[in-house]
Amino acid sequence: MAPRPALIVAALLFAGHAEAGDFAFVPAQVANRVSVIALDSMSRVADIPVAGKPAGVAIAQQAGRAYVTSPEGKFVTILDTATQAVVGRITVGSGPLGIAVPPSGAPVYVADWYEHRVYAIDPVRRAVIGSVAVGHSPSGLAITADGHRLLSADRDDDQISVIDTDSMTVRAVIKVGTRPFGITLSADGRRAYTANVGSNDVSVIDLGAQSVIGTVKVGDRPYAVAFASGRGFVTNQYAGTVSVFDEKTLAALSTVTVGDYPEGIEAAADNRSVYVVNWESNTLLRIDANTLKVTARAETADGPRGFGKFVWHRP
Amino acid sequence: MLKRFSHVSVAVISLLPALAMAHGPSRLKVSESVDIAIPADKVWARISAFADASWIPVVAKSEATGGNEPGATRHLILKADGSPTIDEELVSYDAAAMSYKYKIKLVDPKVFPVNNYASTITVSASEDGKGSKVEWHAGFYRGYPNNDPPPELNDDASEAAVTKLYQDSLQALKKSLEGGH
Repeated sequence: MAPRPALIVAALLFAGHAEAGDFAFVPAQVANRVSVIALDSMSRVADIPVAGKPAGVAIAQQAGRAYVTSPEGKFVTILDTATQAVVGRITVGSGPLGIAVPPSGAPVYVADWYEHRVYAIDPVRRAVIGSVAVGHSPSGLAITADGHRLLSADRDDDQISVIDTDSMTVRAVIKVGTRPFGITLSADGRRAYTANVGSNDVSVIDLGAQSVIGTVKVGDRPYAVAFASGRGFVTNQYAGTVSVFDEKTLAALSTVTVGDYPEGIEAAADNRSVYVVNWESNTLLRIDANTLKVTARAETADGPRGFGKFVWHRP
Repeated sequence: MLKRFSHVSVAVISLLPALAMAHGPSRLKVSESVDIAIPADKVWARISAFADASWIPVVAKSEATGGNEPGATRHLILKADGSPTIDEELVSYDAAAMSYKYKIKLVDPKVFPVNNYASTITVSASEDGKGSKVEWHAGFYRGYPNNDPPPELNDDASEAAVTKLYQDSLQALKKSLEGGH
């Protein structure tokens, strides 16, 4: 299954002429690879070797960088999204997992699962430049578009931490459902959503009021949330499904059967579909956000997690 | 450093219930299968009752509730010194697809070095219908919930324990069914 150079060239040429030309950079934890999928053709164009059981991913869109956490290797790998090459590595913490980067491309924030701390990294100097203590086993991270507010889902404390990135201090702690793992911000940055592994639901958090304003029941062991076409999509690991709810009313709309252990999920640039990573099935699926049908499928390397934002919108 | 460690140990004591679900950040995967020269429906009949784990050689006894409905449980008593136990719960059951998924609710990692373990077993017919394949796969975390695990609780040890259970059990199932044919 090694990607053929001709295939890579073909995919790049194809992407260059396509309207969107997005690529997914999916950390495959079992294989120690990052699978690169050309999303227009849903073809796998590369498997980039990345050691240390890679899991989390964040993309600096303008800079063309993918940042991948390796919790067992205790480092973040820097990938060039255009050349699909490893261009650097930054050692950080004891178990880097969740990762986020603001649209400006810096700093890169990393949640450390064991140290209960979030690190800030300068991706140019490739150095840790700050950190802040949060709750136990911080998992997902999400950052506002202006880069000033960073949210950490503190899994083993059933809470989120709201971090002021200028001072690297926690400004608020908000209790949510049981074992929040993935965390996602609304497009306007006013609401946050956590997928709660322990209570099989999603907490809807009003960041202005600093409180939970709604709860959406979903399937067994939810992992992460994404939004497209006014709908929320939640991966349910044990159920092998994606729960769909209305973003405004929070009403449950449907359940889509996907692969085994669906994990990472992210909307396409056009807001009309979502991409779902299936850890057990080794696949990336595209779901049409309106018809709720699975419309395309690509293979990945073994054990893909894609925890974070994994889609690069090629300019 | 000392300060941090003392802080951690206090936290560990105060959060004992919370640690029931604690695990590392890297999920592991094991998949094993066996071809059996017996039709699928007969193989399925042997393993289809979640309550009955007697086809798994290491199990001495199973105390079950709830039949084959999701949420059903089985309390497995193992053939080992001290009669260690594993508590499992049925997650989903599909008789038409000859498949079910279950998870471990409670186990001492010294008995079976895993955390957050879920497993699926599926029987499928061979192309000619005369034989079958049993596939058993699991997702789980290593037995040690923190970083830098001791060797007996690291990723390799966890994978080895699950692999051995599956291989031994599938081979025993094949032997007993083919032998009785």
